[in-house]
Amino acid sequence: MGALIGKKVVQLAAVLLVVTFFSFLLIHLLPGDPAATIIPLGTDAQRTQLRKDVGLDKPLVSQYTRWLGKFVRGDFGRYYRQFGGEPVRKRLSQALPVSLQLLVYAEVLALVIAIPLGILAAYRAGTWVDRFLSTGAFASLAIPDFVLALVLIFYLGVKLKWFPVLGYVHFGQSPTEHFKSMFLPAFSLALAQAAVYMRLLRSDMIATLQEDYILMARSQGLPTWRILLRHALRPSSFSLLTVAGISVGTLIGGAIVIEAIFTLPGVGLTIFQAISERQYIAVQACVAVIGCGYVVVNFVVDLLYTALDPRVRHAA
Amino acid sequence: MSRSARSSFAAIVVGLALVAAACGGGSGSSSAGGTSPNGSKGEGPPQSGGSITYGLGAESSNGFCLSGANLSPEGIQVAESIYDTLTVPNEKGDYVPYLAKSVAPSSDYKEWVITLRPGVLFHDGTPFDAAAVKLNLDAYRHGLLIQFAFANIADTTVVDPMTVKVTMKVPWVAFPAYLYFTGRIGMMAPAQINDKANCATKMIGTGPFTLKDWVVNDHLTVLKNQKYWRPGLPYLDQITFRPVVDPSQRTNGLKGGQLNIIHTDSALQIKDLRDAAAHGQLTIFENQKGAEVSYNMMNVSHAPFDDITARQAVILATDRVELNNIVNGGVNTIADQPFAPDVVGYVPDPGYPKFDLAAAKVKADAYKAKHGGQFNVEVETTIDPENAREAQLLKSQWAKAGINATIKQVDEATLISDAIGGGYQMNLWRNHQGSDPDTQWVWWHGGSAINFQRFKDPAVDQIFDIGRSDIDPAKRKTDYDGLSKALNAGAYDIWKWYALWAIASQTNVHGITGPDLPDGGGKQGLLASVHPMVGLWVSK
Amino acid sequence: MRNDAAAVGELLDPVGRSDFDGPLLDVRDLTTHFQTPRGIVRAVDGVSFTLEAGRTLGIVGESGSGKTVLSRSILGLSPRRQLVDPQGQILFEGRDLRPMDEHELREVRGRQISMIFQDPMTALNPVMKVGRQIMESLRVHFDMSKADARERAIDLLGQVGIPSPGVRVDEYPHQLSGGMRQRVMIAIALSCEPKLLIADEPTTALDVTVQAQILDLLGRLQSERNMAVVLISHDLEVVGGRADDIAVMYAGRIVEMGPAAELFKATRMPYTDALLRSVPNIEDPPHTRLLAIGGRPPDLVSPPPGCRFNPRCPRAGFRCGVQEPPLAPDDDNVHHIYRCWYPVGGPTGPEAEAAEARPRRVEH
Repeated sequence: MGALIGKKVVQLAAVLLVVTFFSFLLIHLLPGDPAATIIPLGTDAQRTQLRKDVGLDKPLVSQYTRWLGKFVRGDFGRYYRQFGGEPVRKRLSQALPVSLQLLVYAEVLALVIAIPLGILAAYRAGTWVDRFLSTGAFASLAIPDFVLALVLIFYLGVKLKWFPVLGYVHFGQSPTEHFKSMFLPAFSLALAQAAVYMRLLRSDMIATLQEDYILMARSQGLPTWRILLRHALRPSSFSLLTVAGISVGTLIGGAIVIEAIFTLPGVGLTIFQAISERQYIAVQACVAVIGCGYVVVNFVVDLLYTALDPRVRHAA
Repeated sequence: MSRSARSSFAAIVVGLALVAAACGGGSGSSSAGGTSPNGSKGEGPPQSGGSITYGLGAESSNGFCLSGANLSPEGIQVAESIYDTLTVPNEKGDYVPYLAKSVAPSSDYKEWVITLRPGVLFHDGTPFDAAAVKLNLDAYRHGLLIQFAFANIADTTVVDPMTVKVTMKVPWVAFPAYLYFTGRIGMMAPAQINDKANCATKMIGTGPFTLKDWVVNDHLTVLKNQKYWRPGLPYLDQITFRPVVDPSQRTNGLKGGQLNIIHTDSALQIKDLRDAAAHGQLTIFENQKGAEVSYNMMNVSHAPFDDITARQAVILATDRVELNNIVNGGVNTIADQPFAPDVVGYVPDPGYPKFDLAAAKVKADAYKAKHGGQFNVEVETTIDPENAREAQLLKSQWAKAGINATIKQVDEATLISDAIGGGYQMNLWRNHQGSDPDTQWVWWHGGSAINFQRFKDPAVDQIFDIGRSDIDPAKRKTDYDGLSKALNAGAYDIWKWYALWAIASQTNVHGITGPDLPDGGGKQGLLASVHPMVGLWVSK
Repeated sequence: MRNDAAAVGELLDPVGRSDFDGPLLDVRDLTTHFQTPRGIVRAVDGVSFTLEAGRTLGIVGESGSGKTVLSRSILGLSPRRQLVDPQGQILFEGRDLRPMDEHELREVRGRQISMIFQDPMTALNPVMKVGRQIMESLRVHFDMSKADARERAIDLLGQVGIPSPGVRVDEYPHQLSGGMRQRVMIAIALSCEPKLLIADEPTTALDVTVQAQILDLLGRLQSERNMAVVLISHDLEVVGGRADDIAVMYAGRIVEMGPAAELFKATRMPYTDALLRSVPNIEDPPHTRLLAIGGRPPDLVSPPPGCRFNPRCPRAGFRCGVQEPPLAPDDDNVHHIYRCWYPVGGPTGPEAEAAEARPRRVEH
């Protein structure tokens, strides 16, 4: 077990190096002089400052190690403006919790929707319930998240006024308002994921329900719900877990648009704005943080997988 | 409508454009002035207390170090709450003292003496004095882009603690207008100006509200200035500004109740808001006074538009009515000149040609004959889909005249730096807000460093030179009458329409037009997008 | 054997009665047909037998003979939606299980009748600790507390001969050997003290050395608890020493049934005879035996006319392909019944038919 985690940590470190390196390269993929591109309207003194900050005159590898050293210590560079320019870290530390909350809520919501429906569809496989759910899943896959967002905004926000259509409320400020403000964005992101998860769980669950140990559990007179939840769900959820981990990438992509629509001050909106302002140092940092986050999430999923399946745990 | 693109134009535009209104008295009609279906009557006496959330179309992420910041109209709205300007326009369009007690010229208009209102404090408790004013004016004179507007100032001197003298290089009649500058020449506390690192984010003014906190992209909250120099004002305890970039989301936020008041220039949203206002669901206040004009700007230093035939061909080939119907739902007013009807310089017939496809073909063929049978145009626009749609439409209109256009989509910063650097043929632009034509000197005079179109037109230059030095206010009004005609004769621009701004609010929000001016003489005059924050109140 | 008044009383009794004096299990004319895309599969086609408390019935047949479907039909575990017109009665202590719904059946399953399955690897939940799998039945049927159930689970693991049960209780199935796993399954099945255990090939997946241990364990537990057992196997030898009665199934029907000793001593059905004469093959997996006859069991969608065994029967005559023999008692022992026109010990079909034909030809 320990050796397995050790091996995985080494892999993780290697992937993180690659991810950060490509994020770092972003600046160098810009056409022309990066300093001139990032500061089109500024003074030469500002451009010189930027070159010094980034170390543009040094060889690429030493630039990278320097950048990485700062990145690891939480120094993500800064915005370049005529007056000062705040550290990127300050922006990110405000934006990251918002995005993380959005992603976690979306993921949880997707699973909360998908698991019961997936179980139901598998249990009633081939019946009208199953067909109804499958059709619904197909339909929700076909709706882009931002379209769903707009529809939800119109009906649940503007017409019925059940949920706010924009803005972010801190949890500490009012937990109720916080969840209300996060519901529409999280749901917009979650629905398509829920459809994917549901279909996946359904097919895995149908396979699991054919297993002898399910028959054994039935022959012992266990109630159906107990068989479905305690016997069938866990062995059916391995691929669901893996896909849930991978789809964090999809969610991050969707979150950028969703944050812009709902004016949630998250990383997506920060990137969106940094790109339009040519704050590529900030873009670089955001991309690196998101990339690392994605890699780490999948690392954690890998570990969870081990926790979920004792066979993998003991095989190591 | 292309909110994001426009805000960026507006950013540089407002950073540079010199707003001076009808100097020397109420010229222009008020035909395009503010309208409010529900009117301002029947609002009752203002009530103190309460707080509102104000939805704006852009975040001012560059901050509020006013002397250097590029502020969009949205940013100026925020600045209006924290800062006061030395002068403001009144309803007649005259610039009257506001934070200043008086702004008086010497007889030859080469010196201006600014006397300050006593007893005014900055939010940090420091006194508003002559040293602070000099510090501010000097900062503006060295601002990245604003320096061009203040280039005519030779010197500023502190005469006594409450008096500053400003010396000009050449007589400058329109100076009081520059001290308002669409409301963006706010007086910052020395503590803000001197703290270079935090100047953009630690705002300290004398205005009706003080900064509470600002989380970029989320909210900027200001609190009532308890020691405000205008007794009894402001009414509100708090304003929270929220950047909501998407125009329809701003409308949704207002209808859904998350926003109490919003600011928009989206024609489609304005249509929708008018409808809701007609049903009594909300209040809408529209203002086209001193409006900016949307136009296509041509660079005469580059082929093909170095040839007037090419410029005339695209002007004739552009069906602006169709364009306005498709892009704006027909809401906006077509413009034949850069000046809005209430502005000095506006003339009923500026000689802009009508859409004429046959004539366009003739011009295009003439151009092709001279240039090897080719007539290729590159139009630069932002990545904003609405702008791209407009460009596509233009391309198809021109194709009918045999003009082959390609669309180059760039980010906003590139669009602006290309304009500055001259690396473009034609772009989609918006500029020329408000008033005294002298303020357009920087854009069109052959001697200006930021004449983006790079023409040197003797007729245009002569008009500007006469107008700037003319100290007879009555005659000065007519000095600019030939300007639009001269520009149209040169065929430098495809004028499209006047920008339309609306401020929509819930029905319990009042006081958008502000209270009466401190020294009497009615209310503050409202220009285009900006309105004062000091008079806002909510009924309970 | 029973009267109507008694039957009514049993129906009212929610749980099995101990004062019932008829056979524990009385299966009458049980029919289990499935709808499949290929047609109707007649997996069990009119099977009847009885089993007294504490006794063992062996059911023997090749794979595909219907013995597994039979065992699952008893507990209503067949896929319900595919069932076509289920017929017959399954009287357990006089109560018919056949018309019961899932809810009623749950009271019987595990509590009154338990099952163990062939492959202990697949029949145990791989992601659940073995202790929890035992505890579940106890908690569901007896409403036991967690702590009590755990104590009982450890006790049961000890009873089925698992060393250091206090440790094993917290292990996962894959951490145990095959024999151990089968012991765990027995512990689960016996946790609620059922009156009847259906053991479907309980040793088939195990090593030969372990097979006997498991069967011995089953035998011991059976006599301790006075439990009836239905022991299903394809291997007559496995069943032979342990069953009181043996039923041989072929193509969904019982083809021979009787007391074990009688069946071995006076085998009548040629199929039973073939099973007995099948021989172990060294190259095959340890528990398979080679049938002494060729061919495969018939397709249950369209069974052959006449005696279902006739296409493979070395003794079959003309009649066997036309007319199905009834399940009739042997002349010597009424408890020994079989289906055959030309039973072992008499002339083969062709011989008998030739003998019958000859005089006829003489007449002509």
